[in-house]
Amino acid sequence: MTWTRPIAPVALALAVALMHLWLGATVDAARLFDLLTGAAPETFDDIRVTQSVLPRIAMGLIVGAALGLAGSLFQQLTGNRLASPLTLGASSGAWLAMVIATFLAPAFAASSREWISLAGATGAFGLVVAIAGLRGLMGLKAVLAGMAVNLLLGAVAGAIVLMQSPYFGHLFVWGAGDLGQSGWGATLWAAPRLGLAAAGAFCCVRILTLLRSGAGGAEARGLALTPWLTMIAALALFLTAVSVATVGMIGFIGLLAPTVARSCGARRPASELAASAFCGAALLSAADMIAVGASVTLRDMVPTGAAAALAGAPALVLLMRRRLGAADHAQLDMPEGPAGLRLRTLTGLGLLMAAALLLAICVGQGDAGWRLAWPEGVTWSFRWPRILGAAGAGGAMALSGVVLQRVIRNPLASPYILGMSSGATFALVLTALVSGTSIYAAGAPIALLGSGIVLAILLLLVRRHANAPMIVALVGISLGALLDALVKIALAAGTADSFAILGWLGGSTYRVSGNAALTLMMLALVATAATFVARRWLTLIASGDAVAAARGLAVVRIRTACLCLAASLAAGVTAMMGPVAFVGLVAPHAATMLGARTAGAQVLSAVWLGAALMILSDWLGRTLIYPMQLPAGTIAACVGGTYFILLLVRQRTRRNGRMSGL
Amino acid sequence: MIRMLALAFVLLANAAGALTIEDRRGPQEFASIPERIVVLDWALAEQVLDLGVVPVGAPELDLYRDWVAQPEMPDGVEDVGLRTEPNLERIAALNPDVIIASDAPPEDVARLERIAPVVVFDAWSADHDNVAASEGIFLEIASLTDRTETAEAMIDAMEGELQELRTWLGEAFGGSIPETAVIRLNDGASVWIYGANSIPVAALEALGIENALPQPPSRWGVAQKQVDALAAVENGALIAIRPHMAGDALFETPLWRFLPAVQQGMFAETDPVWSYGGYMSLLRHARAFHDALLPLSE
Repeated sequence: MTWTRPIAPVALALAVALMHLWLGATVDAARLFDLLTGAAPETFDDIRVTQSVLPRIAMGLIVGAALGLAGSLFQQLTGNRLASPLTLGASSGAWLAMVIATFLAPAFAASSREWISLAGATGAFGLVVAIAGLRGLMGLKAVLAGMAVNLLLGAVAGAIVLMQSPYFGHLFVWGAGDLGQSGWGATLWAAPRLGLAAAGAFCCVRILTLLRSGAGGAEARGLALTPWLTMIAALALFLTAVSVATVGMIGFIGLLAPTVARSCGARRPASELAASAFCGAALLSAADMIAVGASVTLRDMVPTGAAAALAGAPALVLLMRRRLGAADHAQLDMPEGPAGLRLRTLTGLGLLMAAALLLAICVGQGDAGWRLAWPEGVTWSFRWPRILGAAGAGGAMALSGVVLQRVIRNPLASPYILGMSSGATFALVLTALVSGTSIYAAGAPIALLGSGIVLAILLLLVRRHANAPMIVALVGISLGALLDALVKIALAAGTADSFAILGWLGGSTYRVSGNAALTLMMLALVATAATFVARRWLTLIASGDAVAAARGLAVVRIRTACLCLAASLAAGVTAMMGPVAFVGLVAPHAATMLGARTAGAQVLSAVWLGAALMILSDWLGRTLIYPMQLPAGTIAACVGGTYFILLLVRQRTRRNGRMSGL
Repeated sequence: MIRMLALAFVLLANAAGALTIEDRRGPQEFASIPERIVVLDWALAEQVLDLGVVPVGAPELDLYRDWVAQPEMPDGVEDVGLRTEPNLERIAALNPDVIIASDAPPEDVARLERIAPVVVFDAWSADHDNVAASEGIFLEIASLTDRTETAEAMIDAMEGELQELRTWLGEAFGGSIPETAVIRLNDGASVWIYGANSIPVAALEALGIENALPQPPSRWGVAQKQVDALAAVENGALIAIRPHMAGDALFETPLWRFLPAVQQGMFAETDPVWSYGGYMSLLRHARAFHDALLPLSE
């Protein structure tokens, strides 16, 4: 084995740390040496170096290493090069757990943060495994499931923060992830915990080596794999949890570090772990240097996590484009369910919509509690645009989801992965920042413009690969992540505007006007009709390029058209009421599981289900915590997400039951 | 004949509105003085309460009591929900005579107008002087509620008291009040610093105190910085507005203890005052700063 190349990450980390110190230190080298060798600090500059600059650099190195290590463990465990604490949902799980704990029991949250954080990370990872399945962890499925879980958990955390607004100002910086330190306390707290977990990880090298030869080979040598695999996953989760509990959400490092490590020539499990740790340390320190530098020049400080994503996301886009997956010839693997729509199911769907409409129109809370009455006058004029808007948005997102899942050939794809919502949000936030007004003042055209630009960039980036499904998904995810990171910089300021942005991110029908609701509904209906007419294309495009081309389909052109349709629907909905992406994942999925397996049936029943789900969510959002309101998008994510998980778990247990019966 | 004309003129004048006030859209006319008032923001709640008017509805009352605290929100005021999304059906049920809003987009205003006449102001913007705007809003709300004389007297009294506070502080510090920075704690490593276009800094100016950490003007007049930015206050005082929430972790850190202002015993805290409040909150800030700084002069 060559010695020199795996040394590169070590040298890199060292060089970056020294440079960080050189840029940050406000005393000269001789004084620094004195201070390090025990000289008493005299000026504030001395203290700044010893109590702020140095612990910050140390924190960057150890957290970067921990995230790199966690990423490498996840990747070696799943054999998936896209696995990382961020993409597998672990980070957002830890974050949500901390938000909930801070809300319910602040003292407990502060005293046992690593365990709260670990519980959250484990729960979220468990969810991703439940959705994607153990086998699914190896491929794109895991990342798509992770995105969905991130979306769900992020929505819940956002809603909680929104309800308690001024109390949670400090969570914004933490949500973006920042390495700022005012002493050695946090660093010394994290170091032994991360150190122990890292040592544990290196004890598992033998297992990782065996895994390389395939799980079957390992078991053939008489090794019970399950406890070991659980142990490795637990270590990776613990590394993630402690990192999140200490410095907040910092994405991308865990994903990028192992990739860079491999390109430095680290091949064997042990050297890959070590190199990933050093690469992670170097990457995070470098990102932190950018954050510190930018903070000097900008009015508000720039959180490290935002800088990491800013640098990490483009790198990710490049890496993704290079890796043209072999899975692209795969065809859509539909979730299981009955072969066709039964009468019973159709009746159920009808009743569901009727119930949703009845609740949404007639049931509300007033001063005297719950009441059931036909709304009159002004009340009706407030309610109908919200109900119609919710229905239109639900239908449009569901349709967008059906089209996208068939084009990407993966039932876990959601319109969110195309980055349309992120594009719209970014455009609104940027306009508000530049003009110094509220984000509501910018309005739908700006949001549409943002989505449009993102779609153009996406299509441009994937053109070289003939819009290969996998590439579209990965580039879309990376673009979205990049824009989300930019939005986080604006969010981190923690002013009243941050809460307005957060409210927008929830996806609320509150500001949908009558005209907008009608437009949205028309858009949904026309697009549904058009898609239904062209359902043969959807069937063919989902069955693989070769099959589709053999049947005379202009694959690339149809795929572009489908992508544009899915993206425009998502953009239209986002422009009117903010991101409501989860419906786009759940509705098509649920439709298939209920038996709508042909393209035409899936289109119609998914749109129907999506509309019903959104009407119901909007009603819950309006009434649940009256007179406060929760955004319909958030409720839809929670309700839809729970239903989705129940469906998947039931399906899995049923399948397992059948298998054990064989 | 002349008498009849005069009568007709008076009737017409009455019909055209006994009361005209100016909001961001221009003159708004009211036939009578509105009694049932709904306000959609905490600053507006402060403005009406300061004038001695109790609104029938105001947003997020529980949080108001923790964060704004003064003026006290009387019991019996109904909660109309979130400041970002006030509950329209709830407001309609309150049957208000007028709804007072600020910085609402035109679409929101149009919907509110289905419930009752709306008065809407531009309160917070990077393009204007927030404090001057809040004085204007205070006076408009005063004429809407027939309290113009009260309001003018209050403004005079405020100017007088500000002058007094300034004199007392000047005397306590032997003529030169140290330059001062006003902050809110965030977490263990970052703080918000008030700058141009904010009420706290306007209160400092009214007290004749130099802002020790000037920040460029922005919509909210506040900037988020790392704690070490506070080291720039070398010979001045540092005031933190409570509640601190997670920010009190900062007090335990070495970096904090070695800040020049903290080392020199020039750090003080104030009771909660809402820095995004109404015009009279300028006085509340000034009082709070006076009370906080006075012990530092010894």
